Amino acid sequence: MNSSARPATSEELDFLSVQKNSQFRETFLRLCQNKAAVAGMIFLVFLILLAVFADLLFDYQTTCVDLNIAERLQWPSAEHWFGTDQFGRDLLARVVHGSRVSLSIGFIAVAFGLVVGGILGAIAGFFGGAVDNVIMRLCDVFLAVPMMLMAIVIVAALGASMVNLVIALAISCVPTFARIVRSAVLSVRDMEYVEAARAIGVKTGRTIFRYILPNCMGPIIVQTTLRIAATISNTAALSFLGLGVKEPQPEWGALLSSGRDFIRDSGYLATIPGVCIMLTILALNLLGDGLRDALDPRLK
Amino acid sequence: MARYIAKRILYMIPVLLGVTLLVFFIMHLAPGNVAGMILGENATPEQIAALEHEMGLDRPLLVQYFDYLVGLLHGDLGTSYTTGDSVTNEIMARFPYTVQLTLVAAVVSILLALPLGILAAVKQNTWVDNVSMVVSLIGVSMPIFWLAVMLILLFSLKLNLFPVYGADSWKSIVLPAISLGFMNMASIARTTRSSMVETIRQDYIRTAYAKGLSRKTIIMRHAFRNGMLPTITVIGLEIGQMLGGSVLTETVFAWPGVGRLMIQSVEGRDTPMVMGCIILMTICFSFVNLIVDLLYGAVDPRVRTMYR
Amino acid sequence: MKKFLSLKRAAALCLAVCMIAGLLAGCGGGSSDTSDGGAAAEVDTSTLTVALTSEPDYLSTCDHDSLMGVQMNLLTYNGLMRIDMETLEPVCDLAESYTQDSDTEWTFTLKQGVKFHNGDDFTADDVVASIEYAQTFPASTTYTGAIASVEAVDPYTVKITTASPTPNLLYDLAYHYNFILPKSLIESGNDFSANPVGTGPYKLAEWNKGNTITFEAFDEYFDEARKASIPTLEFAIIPEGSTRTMSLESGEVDFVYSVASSDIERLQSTESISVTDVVSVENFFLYLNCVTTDFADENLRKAIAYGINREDIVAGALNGFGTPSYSCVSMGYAESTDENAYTYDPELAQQYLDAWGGDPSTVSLDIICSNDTKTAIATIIQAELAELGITVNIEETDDATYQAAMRTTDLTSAIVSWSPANAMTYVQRFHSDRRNQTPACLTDETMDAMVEEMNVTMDDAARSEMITDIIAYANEICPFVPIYQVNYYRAYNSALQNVVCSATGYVDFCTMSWS
Repeated sequence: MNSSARPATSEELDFLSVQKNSQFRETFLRLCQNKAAVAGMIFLVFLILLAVFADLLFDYQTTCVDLNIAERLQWPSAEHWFGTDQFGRDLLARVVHGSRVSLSIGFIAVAFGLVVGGILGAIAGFFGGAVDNVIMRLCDVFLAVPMMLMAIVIVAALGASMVNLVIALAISCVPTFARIVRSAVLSVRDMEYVEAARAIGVKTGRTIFRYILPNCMGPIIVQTTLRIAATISNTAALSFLGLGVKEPQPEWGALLSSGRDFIRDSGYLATIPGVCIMLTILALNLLGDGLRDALDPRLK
Repeated sequence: MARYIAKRILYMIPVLLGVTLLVFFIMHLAPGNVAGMILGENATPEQIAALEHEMGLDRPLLVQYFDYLVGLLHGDLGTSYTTGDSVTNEIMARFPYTVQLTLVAAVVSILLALPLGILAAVKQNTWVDNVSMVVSLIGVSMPIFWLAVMLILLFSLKLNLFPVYGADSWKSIVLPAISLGFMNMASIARTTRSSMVETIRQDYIRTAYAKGLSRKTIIMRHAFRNGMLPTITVIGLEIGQMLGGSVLTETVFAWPGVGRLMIQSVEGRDTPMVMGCIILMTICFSFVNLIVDLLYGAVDPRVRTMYR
Repeated sequence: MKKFLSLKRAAALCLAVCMIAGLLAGCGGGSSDTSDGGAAAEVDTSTLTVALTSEPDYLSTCDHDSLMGVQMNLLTYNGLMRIDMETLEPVCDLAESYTQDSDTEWTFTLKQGVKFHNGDDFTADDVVASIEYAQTFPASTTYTGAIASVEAVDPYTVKITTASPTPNLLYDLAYHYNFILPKSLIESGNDFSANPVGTGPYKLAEWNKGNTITFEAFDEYFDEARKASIPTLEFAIIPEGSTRTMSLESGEVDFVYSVASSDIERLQSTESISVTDVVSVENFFLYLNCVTTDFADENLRKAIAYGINREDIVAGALNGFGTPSYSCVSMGYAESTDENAYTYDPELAQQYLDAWGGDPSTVSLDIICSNDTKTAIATIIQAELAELGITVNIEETDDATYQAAMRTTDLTSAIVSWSPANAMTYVQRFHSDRRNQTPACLTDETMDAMVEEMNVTMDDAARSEMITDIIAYANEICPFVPIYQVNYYRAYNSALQNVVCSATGYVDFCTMSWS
């Protein structure tokens, strides 16, 4: 904070953040009135808790890695709620640990895409001119190739591993975020409070992050939830094509795709991870839609 | 108008250049020696080196890239490493199937999504609205492979209505198109709903009601036409995604499209083929976007001024 | 009012969940419905439709060395010799008879009145041109390298001279590289992949890339006994296992080349469908780099050989549809032996590990797996070797990466499968000169000497004995760890007759007929 020199302006700017806080609360309250979005949110919180505390519920090595061929392909029962897979591992344990893998792929890839795309978009929008042109033309290049094809090429070329998967999926998010942030920045760049901040000598980077970005969070948040959903479903698609994470890591898409051979005789094997993917994507979409409505001033 | 189209097509050139550059270098990051793969396991290092020289693979990457570009300018996409056939032939054998599948799937998703979207908007905040939106969301969240197998089990094995695989008759396309279209209807339905909701609140709609026009006329003649703009954009985007995202559908239904060719080529390190597929898909994608923009003008006269 | 609406929204959500549940129920129920109707429906006897997993890259003879490619070659071409699919022995094909004049000289008398698809007559010139053409391809060296010269003595006599005594020559001549092409087309630079003209029982009608390959019976085929009886043969490329099975059940496909192991039981219990069960000579094994890694130590290799429960692998990775294998060379060749073969014996494994003396936690065993089955196998090996304290890292790669690693021997280990037509070809590769080839990466002087001696032994009985000795010695030094032998399950419409599937992986489509 370089505000000690200018106490008055700092207060003035803090007024903005107070307003932002109340806006946040208002949005949240409005979101809570949307039952579907709340249901989505509750489901997601539940999933995140599962992912975080997976180790307390099931020991990774003994339930997710160690094999028990004698008990393979058992239908769901009191002992194995979700049945066992082709190696006799408990599917429930693998799904629970899988939530950790799937969610982290989704969150990390989108977070990475958001940060990189956000920075690029903010720079492009704030400076305009040649910088803007270069960044946006680069985005055009990435956007010109259908997302899935790009991810396939990247993962196949770099080799299938969790890191490469995240990189490929993150790259495909970058241009979208860059565009959103850019247009958001453009829309507030010439607002009075930004000009005020600049006028009092706040550094450029600080202006962007402290005063511009927080005021265009709405579309970014919405896009983030929807992107996480898309990333999880793309991960499943890449797993289907043999470009997913490695055994014995239990990613949902990998569980689904390894269960696909058994879909007719042991349908639970593909169905349960499939439903998990489906519910997660559904929850993220409901939450995203709810957020969109809650953030849309016209629907107040 | 013509000038606008020309400008857009010209703009595709640098984008395509960028795409080729990107893919070319990504493909060269991949492990695996092309000449060694072609010659098989008995090849001596000398034979591999000789073939690499013959194929020009021993030159600097940038030189190879420019060479590729020169070929591209002459309309030559090169020769496939895995089949020895010209890339153009290989791709063109499959491209019509991809276009067919994408278009029919687009029709399916529009036919499913528009009624859902309009219904949801007209019956906004009722159970009809909620059910429509959740149904459309189920499409996007359901793993496509799973849906595809269910469709085959029901329509092919139980009911004997459509073939399980292949691309022989109009019947063959039904199941792949449904599963691909179902996947993509969510965003179309949701966009239709929200733009219709907004349109219905406009003053001129109220005016139309005041004039005593029937509800049906108002919805179909006035609201629908004006609410279509965002929907068209989304349909364009979805068609683009379907062009590239139909790999899974193609695999399950043994549909001989470009997506599957590309997957095989990436795995076989067949750089010319991968480049060819990507270039073709990119051009299609760009053209779809161009057509969308032109349709904008057709639907909304206000936009037409933009083309001048 | 607002609250009421939200309740409705929640109700809609419930409804949606119910719909999902309904779909699930449909899925679960899928297990109980046995396919009614389906393949039992009337059969179009003019056509045989075969589902293939992947498309052959080439229909020509010299551009590939893939099982699917050879399967296609067998339709359109013939060699001087062919491998009998039931006995795996070479028998005369385009050759009428042959004589061995000395250790290195062979004379082949050719069949007369044989026509190529393009109408050319088959003569000795075609044989000379074809073999010389094949020799220009580096990949064919294994099968053409021994041949020093080919001469046309007269239009129906060919003399082949080998550089050194080559007992394998008859097998080599039956290999696809040495299939006979018309000289006129070789000279005109014909693309034999797009236009595969040979003397075979079928000729290419249409190749719809990525979709179907259609062949038509060749009316002027020379061998009346092996003349095609089904006029049209269509291959459909269906990559997904469950789709192949369903297309057979619906009757759209008559023959499935490769049945997903999870579907075998279902198809076996379907009345209108038959399933072959051929124990093949295709061996799956854990390749170990015995030259540059820890696995140069014999005891460490044996610790693994005794530490792997193959029954579990067959059960877990193959749904029980495979045959555990304990000898380095598949059982099923005349020369095969289980002398010195391994067992599953964790205690013995521990003893070998102790004999090696190192710390098992320092062993880095990275297993390259290039498909789902291999990954499943490695997953089980990973769990079992963990009990010996050895950490296994599974590297899933595509074929290209795997092949590059094998060629440069820049790897520790891989799951590899191999099915040579005869035991001699198999053990020849145990020689240290060929350590960059499947199956063994080994340097062992005793082994080298034994292989070299066998290579030049022309007496069949003596050579067979040597091969058996080599196998026993191989088991003693453990160049790699055998895992299982593949069983070939090919499923077909029960109305098909004379279905012959060889232990080397090929199917004889020419002799098949509809009842």
